[in-house]
Amino acid sequence: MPEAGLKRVLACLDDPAALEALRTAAAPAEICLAGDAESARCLCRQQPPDVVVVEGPAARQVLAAMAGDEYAPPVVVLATQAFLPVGTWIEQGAFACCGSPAELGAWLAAAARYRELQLENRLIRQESERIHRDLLTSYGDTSGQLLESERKYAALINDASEAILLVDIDSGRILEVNRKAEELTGRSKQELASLHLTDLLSSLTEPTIEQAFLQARQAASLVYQNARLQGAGGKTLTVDVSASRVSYSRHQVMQCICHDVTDREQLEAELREKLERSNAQLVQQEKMAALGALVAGIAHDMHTPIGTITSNSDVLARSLARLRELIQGQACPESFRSHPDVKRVVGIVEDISKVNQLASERIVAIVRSLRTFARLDEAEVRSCSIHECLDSTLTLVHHELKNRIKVDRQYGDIPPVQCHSNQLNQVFMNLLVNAAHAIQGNGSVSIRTSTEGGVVKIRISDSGSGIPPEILSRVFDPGFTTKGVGVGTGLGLAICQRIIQDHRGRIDVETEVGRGTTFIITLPIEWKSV
Amino acid sequence: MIAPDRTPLILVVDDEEMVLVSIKSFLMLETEYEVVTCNSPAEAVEVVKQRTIDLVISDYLMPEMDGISFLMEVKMLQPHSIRILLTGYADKENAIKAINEVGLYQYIEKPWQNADLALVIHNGLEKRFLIERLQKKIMEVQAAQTSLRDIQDQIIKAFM
Repeated sequence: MPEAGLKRVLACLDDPAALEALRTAAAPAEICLAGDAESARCLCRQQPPDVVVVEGPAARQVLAAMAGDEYAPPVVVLATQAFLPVGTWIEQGAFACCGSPAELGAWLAAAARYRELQLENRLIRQESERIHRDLLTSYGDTSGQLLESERKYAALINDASEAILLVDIDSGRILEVNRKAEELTGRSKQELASLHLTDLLSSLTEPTIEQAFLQARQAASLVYQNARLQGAGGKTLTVDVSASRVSYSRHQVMQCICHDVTDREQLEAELREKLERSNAQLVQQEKMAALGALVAGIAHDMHTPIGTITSNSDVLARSLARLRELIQGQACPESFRSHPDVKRVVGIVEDISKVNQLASERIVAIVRSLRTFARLDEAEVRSCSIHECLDSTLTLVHHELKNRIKVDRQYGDIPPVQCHSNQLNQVFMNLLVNAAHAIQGNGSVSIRTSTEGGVVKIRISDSGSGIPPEILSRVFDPGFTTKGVGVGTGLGLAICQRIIQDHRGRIDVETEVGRGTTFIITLPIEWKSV
Repeated sequence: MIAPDRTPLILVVDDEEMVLVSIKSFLMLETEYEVVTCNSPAEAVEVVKQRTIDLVISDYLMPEMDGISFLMEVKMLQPHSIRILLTGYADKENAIKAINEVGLYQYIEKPWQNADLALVIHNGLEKRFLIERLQKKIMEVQAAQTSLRDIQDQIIKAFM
């Protein structure tokens, strides 16, 4: 704030009297003299005076030079010759116009006061502008920070790897979602905003989504597992939902984070299936072992009664032959020999006896096959005739083949094979039963054996329906079956493959739909231990 | 006939009556042998102690005594008798092991074929009687030798 009173006055005066008058009036202020309008203007710019006093024609130029400068010092025009009216000077920007140097004192004082106010005003204005600027600067900073932080949080929510939904706590309506939620559901933010949470999520178990939502409203947070979510492309996904109550725009909302666990569930399902399969396989193996033991036991217990029956039918046949001789002989009276009932009864007994013999022979064959098949007393590897194994197995599957299926045995000249014959029997049994099942109505099964270079090949062909190409790759998979629930275990061929692999052999399949299937077993003649 | 001077005696031992009936019927129909059956080994041992048995057929699995122990006993009592074991399939291993220690002539598997049984019995008896005849001959030779030696002694005495 400048001190009161004049300090500097710029004078541009021709009249020495006027200058003298000014000096008097302005004292003790410094008087600068300018010779003409141009130098006055320069001086003004260099070091602005408090007041400019200008005389005569130069006044117009000075005023013109200062026009537009709000803070230009006041100009007092000394117009002794009055060639222009006072009003005109004022209009041109003069502070005052005085007609005689005598008036200068008064006008100078006024001008000084004006200048004082003018400078003060400028100062205030500058200060206010500075404050304004400062305010602007600081406000600008804050809003930038706000924007930045908003951007960060938006990124945090929006770019989160989990789907996040904000849901109205009262209505369950979806308010806001992040990008992942859009991806997961295959719907846009706008589409989702018109939905309720329950339109999106469902559940297979208790509590339902609605119940869980109510619970979550009571509790601060809740985790809901294995909810079903209608996902993109009509796929049903499995999600774990963690819901928590949060403040959002001064409201309480439910924040739901959906974690996609579909893969986990699939993996679990696969593992479960695998476990079930290997369990089933174990059970099947145990069953087979138990069955083997049972069969061996039964076969053993049947030796005595069957031996007796066979022997007795033989004795009966022999006795009848003897009886017939006696009837034909001399010792027999003619009346007895020619009696029609005697002939008839002897005929019946002979027929029955023949049938008995055939029946008991068949039982003996079956029992022999059973014990060859089970052969629990031969757990070790032995040299066995593959043909014997095939024959005993054929006897056992006789009921499957009956008269429907013709069996063509093309046995080659093959050496004995070192093997677990009971296991091989199981393989032959499986393949023969499968073959019988593949044949609708009448057909044929051919069994061909051959040897080449240290291995034996057994080919079992059927004239059945063949295996469609789309399932061919799966026939050896454990649990795969075409026979329907409860009919096949789906383990037959898997077990066959396992047994043949244990024998260091291989099992191959050739098939043509409508023509039939051939299973080719290749076995090394010498046993190679694992 | 293989045994011209007497009827061969056959002993059949099995704990199952049905087996005994069946085998006895068959042998009675087809052969002239005398057949004795016992359904317990103990009872059979008594028979062996009292009579000369030409051939024994014994079951393997019996409650009080197994067939091999029984045949051992028979071997001790009558070493020249022919011993046959009748066995189930699962006991084959044991039977084969026993052939040497019991001096088993043959084993027959159940269920058996009568024709096989007849052949085995026939051959067994033939062996039995051949040995018997051989022994008789040996005894005759020995007797002849003895009488020769007596004659020799008398001749020597006469010259002295």
